[in-house]
Amino acid sequence: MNALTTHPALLRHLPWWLRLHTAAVLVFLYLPVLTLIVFSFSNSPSAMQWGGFTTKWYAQLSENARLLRAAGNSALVAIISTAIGLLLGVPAAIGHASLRRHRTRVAASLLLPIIAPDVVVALALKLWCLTAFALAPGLTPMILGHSLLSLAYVFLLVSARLDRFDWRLLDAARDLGASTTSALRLILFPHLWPAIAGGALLAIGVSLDEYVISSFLSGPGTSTVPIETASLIRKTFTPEINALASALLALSACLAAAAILLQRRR
Amino acid sequence: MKPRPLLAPALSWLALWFAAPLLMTVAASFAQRGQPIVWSFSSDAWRSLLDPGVLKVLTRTLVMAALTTFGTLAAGLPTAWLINRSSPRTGRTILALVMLPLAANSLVLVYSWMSLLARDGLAGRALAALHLVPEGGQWLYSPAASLLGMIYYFLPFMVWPVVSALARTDPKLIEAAADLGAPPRAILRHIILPLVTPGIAAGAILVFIQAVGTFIIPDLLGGSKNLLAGTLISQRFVGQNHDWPGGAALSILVILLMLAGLALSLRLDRNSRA
Repeated sequence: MNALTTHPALLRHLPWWLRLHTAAVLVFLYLPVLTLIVFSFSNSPSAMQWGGFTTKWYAQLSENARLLRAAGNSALVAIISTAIGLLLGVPAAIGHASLRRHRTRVAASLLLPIIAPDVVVALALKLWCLTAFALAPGLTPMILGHSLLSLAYVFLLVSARLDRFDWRLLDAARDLGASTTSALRLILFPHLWPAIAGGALLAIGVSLDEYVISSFLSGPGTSTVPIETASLIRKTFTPEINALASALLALSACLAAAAILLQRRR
Repeated sequence: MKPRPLLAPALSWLALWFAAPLLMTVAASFAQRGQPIVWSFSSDAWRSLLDPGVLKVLTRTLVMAALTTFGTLAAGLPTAWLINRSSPRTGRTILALVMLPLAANSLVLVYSWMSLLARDGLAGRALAALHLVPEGGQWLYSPAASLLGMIYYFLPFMVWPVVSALARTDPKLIEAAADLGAPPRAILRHIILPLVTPGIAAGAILVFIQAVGTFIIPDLLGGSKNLLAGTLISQRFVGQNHDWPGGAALSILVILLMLAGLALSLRLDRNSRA
């Protein structure tokens, strides 16, 4: 229990303007998105005029062939880059947990790709693929770029969970005659799997939403949903884009909710 | 567990697709302009950063990043304080609401502001009705719109470190001060504030370095006249007048700025835990 919340003199010190400020911040954060969702159901050709309820924009969206092709590419890139992130990130987190020196440095370098400006990550990779491998922009460089982000997110979540793991359990299992593999499978893995699954969901979500890396590394015919979205919103604002944006928000929200629920598991 | 064989694949992957590309970018910044690049030594790209047009964009980028940091401080600090002071349940809910937009597609978030601020958008119409829009102009595609979008997007990065720093403050210190008769204002100023300053600094640095490197928010909200470093870098790599060495030099400059900020925040973090 925090003394701040128990001490009467301090508890009284939550002035009205502080509550008002936080309420304003929450309105600031949610008003734009909620407006978008409301007007995605508006039967009017203009993006922000109310013309009665309709779901026709969503129906139109599901028949947009260009967008559906892009969705296929998005899914492919997300699945492969997340698989790479899992294959590299889970062992890396376990290795990092038993590292004695340079722990901060190793963790910071694995997380650098998500902190570094996405423009720089994308263009450096484009330059490298072209000059060192004569690899033109397309799905492969895109997957490579996304895999750096997946690796970072998987590492982040699995590492956080490993902090709460009692390594003596593994020693105990081995003392009792378990092989290293079965100790890992029966003790470490059951502890880690919510973080592994959560990391995978987070990586899929990040990959599906990633625009900058995709747009600089995409070639002919390898457009993704964010690339299509960006080219639409650069031109006009329509209720159909509102519907697309709301659908993308719903997808992100589902992925995030699943990832969070998994983290709650003991 | 032997750490090395477990870490080696991930670190090699990072070396091959992250570190090597950045080193290649360093090399490219010392090459010559060509179709797209000529590999002979030249310092033209670095000298081109001193071009008044480029310096103007760099200054504008730093100013916008600083304003974004102040904006997130103004919006984030009172919110973090309220989260800390509320009941654990309310605090957790508000914190989750503040962090949730991070999970959303950044394009969607930017689009939501674009459509609001447009001439026929809700905010656009409201501002026009209040005569807050200059004749024939609009809020969308202005530096103000860009700043608004950046504050919006980076706010969670400020709130999170400050909330964690507040949660780490030792309740005994506050109790002791209160028992000795310190009024709440003095407790806030002389005990809590010094304890959470490293958290505030960490949040400010995190927001600042990300704002310096940001691309999509100012590119979509700010319009073509108010471009920032990220857009300038991308322009150097695409289109007719491309200049890869120039873009590479700018990229390295932004990365160096980011690493300096990161080193500073790691040091602050170590000092605050020591």
